[in-house]
Amino acid sequence: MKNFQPNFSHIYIEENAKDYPLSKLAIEKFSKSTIIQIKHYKDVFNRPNQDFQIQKSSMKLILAKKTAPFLYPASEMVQEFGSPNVFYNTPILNCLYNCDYCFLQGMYNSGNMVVFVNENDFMSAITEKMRSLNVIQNPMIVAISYNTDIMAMENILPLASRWINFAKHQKNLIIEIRTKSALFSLIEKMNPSRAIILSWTLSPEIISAKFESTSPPFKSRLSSAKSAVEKDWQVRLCFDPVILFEGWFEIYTAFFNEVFNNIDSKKIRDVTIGVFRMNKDFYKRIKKREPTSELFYQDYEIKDGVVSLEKNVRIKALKKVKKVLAKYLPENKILTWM
Amino acid sequence: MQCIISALKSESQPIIDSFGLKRNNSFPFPVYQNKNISQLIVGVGKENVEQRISLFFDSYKSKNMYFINIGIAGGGKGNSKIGELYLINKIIDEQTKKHFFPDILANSTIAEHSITTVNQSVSNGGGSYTTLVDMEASAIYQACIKSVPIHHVSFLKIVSDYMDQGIFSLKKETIQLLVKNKIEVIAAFIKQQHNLQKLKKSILTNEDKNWIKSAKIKLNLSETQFYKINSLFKGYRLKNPYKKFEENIIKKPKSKKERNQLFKKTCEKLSA
Repeated sequence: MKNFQPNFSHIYIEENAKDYPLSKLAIEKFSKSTIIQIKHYKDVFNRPNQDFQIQKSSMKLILAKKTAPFLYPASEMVQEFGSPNVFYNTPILNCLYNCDYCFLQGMYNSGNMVVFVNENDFMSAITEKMRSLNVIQNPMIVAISYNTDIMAMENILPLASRWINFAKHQKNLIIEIRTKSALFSLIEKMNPSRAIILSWTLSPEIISAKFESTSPPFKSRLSSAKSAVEKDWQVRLCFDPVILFEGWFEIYTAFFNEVFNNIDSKKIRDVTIGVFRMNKDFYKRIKKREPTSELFYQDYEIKDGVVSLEKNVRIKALKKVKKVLAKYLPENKILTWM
Repeated sequence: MQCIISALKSESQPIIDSFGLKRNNSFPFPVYQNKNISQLIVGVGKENVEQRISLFFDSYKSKNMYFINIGIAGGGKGNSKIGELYLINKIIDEQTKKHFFPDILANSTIAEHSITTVNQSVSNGGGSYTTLVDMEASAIYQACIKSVPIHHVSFLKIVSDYMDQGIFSLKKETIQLLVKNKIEVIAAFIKQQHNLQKLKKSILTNEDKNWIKSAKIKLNLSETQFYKINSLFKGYRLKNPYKKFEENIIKKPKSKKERNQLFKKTCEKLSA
């Protein structure tokens, strides 16, 4: 918007983060940005009374050094929750995109992005944890793009490719990179590895235009995922959230058809499905700010701290989705959040 | 409403003149106003800042109020220029060592600087400061963000001296001239903030709000029901920006049961 400064017009940098290669790279990349020294990233990121949505109109970059913990157990809202050895980490806080249904707007006070520049500390924490896993037969799975879209940042800071290189050299580690980006071209020259899952969130065009308007359109994402599959990367497709509205089933049926006409379903690692859901505290915090997405003004139930559609409605819907997907994939490849 | 905060009358005089502001005597301190802009004078130093700002805010209680601190500051010879206007991106409170960061969102060509808020006027050349120096910014920031979001608070400072004479030895005509010379830039900034202010709109129209209010009274809705109707109405309005909600609640229900049936029916219509 012309009223606003461009994204990353300002870079806030912690005193102890400035000598890291990633900081230097960011400052070089945004050489026209105003650099502001800070003592701790929370002095900027956690300020009270920020407006997440207006800050999204002019996001600032905060470069910081993270301190432990570098690894967290997976949330129960992730489909793989329940499998042993599933973790996530936070190399970046917040996302370049701003999808209507995203929990980040309720999780963080700020619309700005924090990049932790001490990536080696994150990686060391993983190698250390791998030595003390409870169930050593199963691989350790780490979602590195849980609170961000790390691949969307690849043309700004090549974090995804660095993580791919790290994971390739570990035994018994799988990292999941969840994305809505269309930037696969930036990593396609790398050798594919079984240690990486590239997960694309895909939604029908109508949903994408309405609720994911700041992300690349469906067709660009599909084309990126298709290239990855063709180059033998392990690809997961996330149809999540499935948004229910009048005529949704016909639209999603046609959408799945289009996806699997383009992508060979046999080459897909798995798919995930789920409906809109959110931690109740995040939901309440967002709602207090009067968001302009109709998603927040529907009739939901709150159960076990999670806001979602009534159980019978979502089970019925997801069963229908699963039935359609079963035409393309075996059921054990359809991971569902019910 | 935009509220300009200055320490001195001489800092505010060019603003009062330029926007045709008139004194509002209902406040126990100097406030000048027109329909859209208020000029609040808080005095030199942190002492009166919080009390005056909160008293002013409480008389309007509008979360959509924007505060702009406009005033003079001392500058360093090597990094600032006398007469130059700066937009402040970092405030250091010398006493508490706390740092504050105003949001810089609006597009602007105004050069930026950081500022240190001190308790005593500096007149020794200020060699130890790499920032601008004033006596109010940190207190103004802290007082304002108690009432409004961070991006509603901005700081514009004009360098008046190189910290070699102290604020009290500056002539009021000199201060007025410094502000007057930058009045066009200040006016453009105020206009821009006003444009940002206009971006925040309520989802519900006044007509919608009246409908909900009337439904609450006629149906004798509980607080939970009122909250639900309000929420569903917002969803309806987002899906149907121009469509009037035709459901008429004409008569009062005779029983709680009838009330609940009407409520349910209305919710269904709003969610459809």
